[in-house]
Amino acid sequence: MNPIVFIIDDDISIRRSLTFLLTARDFTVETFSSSEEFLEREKHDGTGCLILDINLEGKSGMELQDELIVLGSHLPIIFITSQGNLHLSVETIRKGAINFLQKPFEEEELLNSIREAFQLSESFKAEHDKSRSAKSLIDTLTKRETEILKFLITGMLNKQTAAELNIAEHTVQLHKLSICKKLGVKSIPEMITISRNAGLIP
Amino acid sequence: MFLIPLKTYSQEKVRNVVIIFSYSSTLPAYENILTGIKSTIRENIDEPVNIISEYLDIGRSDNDDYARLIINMYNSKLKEFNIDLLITVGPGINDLLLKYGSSELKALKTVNCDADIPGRITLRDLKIRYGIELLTNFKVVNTLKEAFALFPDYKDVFVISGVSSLDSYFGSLLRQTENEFEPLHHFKFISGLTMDSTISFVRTIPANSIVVVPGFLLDAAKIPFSTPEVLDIISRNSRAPVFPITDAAVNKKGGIGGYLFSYNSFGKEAGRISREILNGKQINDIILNRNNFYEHIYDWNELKRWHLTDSKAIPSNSIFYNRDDSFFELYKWYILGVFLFILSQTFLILYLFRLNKRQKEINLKMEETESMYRELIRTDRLSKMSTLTASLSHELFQPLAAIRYTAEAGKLFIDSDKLEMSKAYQMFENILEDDIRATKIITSVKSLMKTDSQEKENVDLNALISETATLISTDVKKDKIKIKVACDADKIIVFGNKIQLQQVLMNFIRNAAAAMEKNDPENKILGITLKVIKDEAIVSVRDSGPGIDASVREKLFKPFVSTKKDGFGIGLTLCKSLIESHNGKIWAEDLPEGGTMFSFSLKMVRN
Repeated sequence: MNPIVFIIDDDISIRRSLTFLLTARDFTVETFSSSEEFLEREKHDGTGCLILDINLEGKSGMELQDELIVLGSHLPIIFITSQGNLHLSVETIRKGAINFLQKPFEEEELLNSIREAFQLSESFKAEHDKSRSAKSLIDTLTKRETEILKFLITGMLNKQTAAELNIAEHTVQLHKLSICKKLGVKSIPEMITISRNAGLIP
Repeated sequence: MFLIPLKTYSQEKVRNVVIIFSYSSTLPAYENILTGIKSTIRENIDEPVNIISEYLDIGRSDNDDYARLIINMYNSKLKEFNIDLLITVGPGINDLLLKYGSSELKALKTVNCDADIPGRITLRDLKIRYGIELLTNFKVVNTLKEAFALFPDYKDVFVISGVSSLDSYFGSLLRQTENEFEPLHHFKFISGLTMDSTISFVRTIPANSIVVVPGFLLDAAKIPFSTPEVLDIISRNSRAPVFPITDAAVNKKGGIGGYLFSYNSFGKEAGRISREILNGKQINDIILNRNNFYEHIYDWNELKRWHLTDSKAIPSNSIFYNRDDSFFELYKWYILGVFLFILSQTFLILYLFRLNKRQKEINLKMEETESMYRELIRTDRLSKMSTLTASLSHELFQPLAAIRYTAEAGKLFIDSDKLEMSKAYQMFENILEDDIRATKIITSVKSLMKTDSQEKENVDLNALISETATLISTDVKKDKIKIKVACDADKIIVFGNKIQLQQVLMNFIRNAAAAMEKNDPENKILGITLKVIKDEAIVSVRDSGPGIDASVREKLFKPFVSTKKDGFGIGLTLCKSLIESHNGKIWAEDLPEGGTMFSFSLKMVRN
C-alpha cells in the first residue's frame, strides 16, 4: 500500500496546486479543507504524512496535532503556514512535527520533508505492526496464562510463580508450555520481547 | 466820516443809529459800552442797522469847540439825513446838547446813558420828549468787600486817583464808603500827584496792603492817561495787590479784578432798549431790565500772580479774562470730541489691524488644522494598513505559491510524459484564477494606500463591504473571528469618497474584532449589514463583545477616548468627522442580545 500525503489547508489554490505537484511526483494525495473534515475520514493505518496548515478555520493545525497525539496517530506532520507565526514552530516540532514550512516554500524543501516523514512513518508502521502482532499473540492466551506470563517475564522461576499464585509448580509448568506454544517461542527472553512489543512491560 | 456808510445803504431802508460819546474814543469804558450796544442792538431787526459813533472829546482842550463842531454838523445834516435813534453816552453829554443841540436833534428818539451824578442835566432839562435815561449807579462797597475777602489779612487800603473830574468823582465814591469798613480797614487817599511821584509812592506801599485805582485819566502835570494804562503801571510797581472798580481795565492788564461795574453789561442793556425803540415800541412802555450792572470779573494772570486761582472768595459765576486754558475751556467739548473721535478712529484702525492679523492667523491655523486632519486620516489608515499589509502580503503568497507549484507540476508531467490535455487545461485554468486573485489583493491594497483625495463619486456600498470584508478577513481569521455579511439589495449607491468610507468601515470592523478578543472562539461573530430605510443606506457592524463601557459611552466619538490598551482613541472621532463630511450620521448602540453595533447612514443616490 502506497504511502499517502494528506493535505489540510483551507486555501483551495494551495490544495489543488500541491495536489498537482505531488501527483506529478507520483505521490498519492488526499486533501481536506479543515481539520474536522480530516477527522471524519476513516483512520489511516498505512504510512504517509500530513501537510497541515497552521491557520485553519475551526480547529487549528496545532489543535489537530494535539488531538492526533491523543488518538495515537503516528502520522508525521509537516506544518505549513502563510502567516508569520514562526514562533509556533518550536512548539510544534517539540511535539513531533517533522518541519515547519513557510509559504511559499521551495518544492525541494517540501519533498525532503515528505521523504523524511515517510521514513519516519515506515518505522512507526513497522513498530506498530510488531506491537500489533505481539498483542494479537498475547490476546490468544487465557487469563490464567497471561497472569503467569507477567510473573515469568519478571524473571521468576516456576516454583516462585506457583507460590505467588498459590498453585502447584507443575500447573505452572503446563501453562508455560501452552504459552510457549501459543506465542511460538522457546525461551523466556523471547517471551519478554513479545511482551514488551505488546506493551505489557515498558 | 459818517457819510460814507450812508451811501452804501441809501437804496435800502436802513436804520441809522448815532451814538455820541462825551469823551474821547480812547476811553476804555466807551469801548466796552460800544461793544455791549453792538452785541444786542441788531438782534431781531430785519433791516440793517447802521451805527455811527461820534466822540465829542471833552477834556482834550480847555474849550469845547470840537464838541460844538460835531453837534452843529448833526444839526444841519438832519435835514437830509434821517436818524432813527440817538444814543448819548455821558458824562457831560447832556450839558453839550443843551448848549449846542438844535431842536431837531432834540426831537430825535434818544437813549441817554449816563452816570447818576447828583445835579446832572436830565433829558427833561433838554426838553427831549422821546427819550429814555439809563443811569449807572456805582456801588463800590461790594467791590471793596470782595477785594478785602481775597486778602482778609490786609488792612491798609490805598486809593490812588488822577486829577480829572471823573477821577475825582470815582475817588469820591470810595471816600463815601470809607466809614463802612472802619475800624478794620484804614483808607489812605492819594491824589494830585504826577505819574512819576505816583509810581515812587506806589513802590513804598507795604506788600500787605490793598491798592485801589478807581480812575486816573489825568495826572498833576496834566498829562492824560487812561485808567487801564495807569492800573498796569501801578500794579507792575506795586508789591501790594491792585484793584480797579470797573471792567474797563481788567482785560487790558489792569489789576486783579473783582466785583466790578461792567460797562459791557451797561452797553448791552442800552443796546437792548435801543432795539426795542427801533422796533417801534413806545418809550413809555419800555421797561428797564436791570439797574445793577455789576459782574465778578477777574484777570486770570493776576490771580495766578497772587496765588488766588483757587480762592474760595472768587464766586463760581465769575468771568475770567486771559485765562490760560481759556481756549481749552471754550472749546473743551469740541476738543474732547475731536480727541475722542481721533482716539476711536485710532482704536478702530488698531482693531481692524488686529482683526486682519487675527484673521490671517486663523486662516493659517485652519490650513494647519486641515492638513493635520488629513494627515490624521492618512495616519489612521496607514496604521490600519500596516497591520493589514502583514497579513495581506502573506495572503498574496497563497496564489503566487499556487501558481508556482502548478507550473512546476506541469513541467514534471511533461517530463514524465503523463500530461493529459484535460489535466493541462485544468492547471492553466487554476493558474489564471490564482493570478486574478493575486491581482485583486494588490489592487485593494493599492487603493487603500492612495494619497488622500477629497473627490467623491458614486460608490456601491455592497461592493465596498465585500471588498473590505475580503481585505480584512485574513487578518481577523487568525483571531478566529467569523465575518457574516448580510445585504439588502444588490446595488446601493451613495455619493462619497470610497476610500474614506472604507476607512470608516475598517475602523468599525477593527473595533468589533477587538471587542471580541476575550470571547470564546465559537462566539466570535462579526456581522456586517447593509440596510435601506427610505432613502437612506445604513451600514452596521455588530460584535458579540461585552458592550460599551458606561464610562466611555457618553464620549465615544470624542478624541483620545479608548478602551484599547494600545489605542490612541482617534479612530471613532475620525469616523465621525468623515461621515459628517458626507452629511451622514454615525452612532453606536448596545444590542439586547449583547454586544455593540456601530452604524453610519448616508443618503442614497437615486437612479
